[in-house]
Amino acid sequence: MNEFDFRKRLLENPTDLDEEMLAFLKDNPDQEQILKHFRLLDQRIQEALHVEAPEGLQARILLNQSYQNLHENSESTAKPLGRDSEPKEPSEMASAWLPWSYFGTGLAASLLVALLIFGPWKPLPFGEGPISGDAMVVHILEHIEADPSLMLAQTPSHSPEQLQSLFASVGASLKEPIDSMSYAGECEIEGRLGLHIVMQVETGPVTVIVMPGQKLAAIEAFRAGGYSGELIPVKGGMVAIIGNSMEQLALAQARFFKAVRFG
Amino acid sequence: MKNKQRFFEQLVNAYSSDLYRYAYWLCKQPSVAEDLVQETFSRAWKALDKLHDDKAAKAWLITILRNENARMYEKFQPKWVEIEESLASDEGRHDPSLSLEQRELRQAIMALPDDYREPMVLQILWGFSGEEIATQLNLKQATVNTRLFRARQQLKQIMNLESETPSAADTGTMKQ
Repeated sequence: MNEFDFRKRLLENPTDLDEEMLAFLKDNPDQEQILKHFRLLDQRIQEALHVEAPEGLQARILLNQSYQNLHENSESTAKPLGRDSEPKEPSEMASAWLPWSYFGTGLAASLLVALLIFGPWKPLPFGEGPISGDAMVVHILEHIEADPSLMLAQTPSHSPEQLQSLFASVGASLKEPIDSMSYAGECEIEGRLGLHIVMQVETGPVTVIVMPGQKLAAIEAFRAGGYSGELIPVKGGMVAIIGNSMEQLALAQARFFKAVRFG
Repeated sequence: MKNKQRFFEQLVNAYSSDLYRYAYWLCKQPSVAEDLVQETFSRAWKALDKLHDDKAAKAWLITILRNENARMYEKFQPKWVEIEESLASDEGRHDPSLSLEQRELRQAIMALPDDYREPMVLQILWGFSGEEIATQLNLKQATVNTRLFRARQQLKQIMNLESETPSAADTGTMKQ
């Protein structure tokens, strides 16, 4: 091995040196500098490759699997989404991965969905009251009920620039318009500035509250005051999604995080 | 069923973020990358019983994702190319959390030929050996090594790092 070979091999893989390279390095200690240089290059490349995964990705995958599981259990005659099925157009896939058409299976199915959705993250007792983050949940529900008119379907009057500014005020940005958003505005919950969003999903309105500065270790689900909701940790804060049913939450969550980026 | 569920959750927790990154560099579109990851895990759930060796999970998931990407790309290539070019030029440009060097490096990685970028991503992000990459991509290991070499060489040149590299003169007489 000569220096050219050594450099070539470093460009192939500067991390794992085989015996031949180690022997060359031992005989040529001045090549340590080259090794350090290539490892630094690799470190820079690694950092550049490390793009952030979208907020809530794991939760959405588990949500999808929960519905898939429900579908498999309850609709044995339905055609499965197998390898031989037709691939979907990329733009259609985000909504297609949740089999929304199966939601009309009644209350029992909804309860099963709830169990499946929240099982992996936190046990969800079906009694009264929130299961965690009690104070926050109470504040959010009070806030929502303070102005029911916000829940009505309406067309947001903000320009794209105004919307970006709104989201920027809570440390977020819009990658694309939020599908079915009917309201967006600043709000104040217990003296803290937040962002209040209403989305009109197929089965009714869903409220999304972005609370910067609120720390949360993991996703928490709650049921309180007739609402179902989830608190989702994001970069720099927390997102609360509140609706009347689990399927509303799932749909709103998917649409919201598809469009919004944090950090 | 319970074990299957638990194992699936472990896979999601362990690999979803890295799979997203892999998909991102494969298709260059964030929203499509997430779709690919979702579809990958959707298929993985259905076929989980066929995964007999836990240690093979990484390669198995990558294979599923690559197959999905190939299918989608084959069918929708014209539309993707239009989007891809615009994104490739803008990607990371407006992200204030990135340093100028990181933004330029991301642009440079994005501009690499796919054949060079993919083995590099598998090696650096996923820790695959040359042999594992060769198996995954169905290539000879010598071909993989050549592509890895060229990927890093191009990045060095694009990033003007060549001048920073200690030369043979700096490091003493070249030894044969």
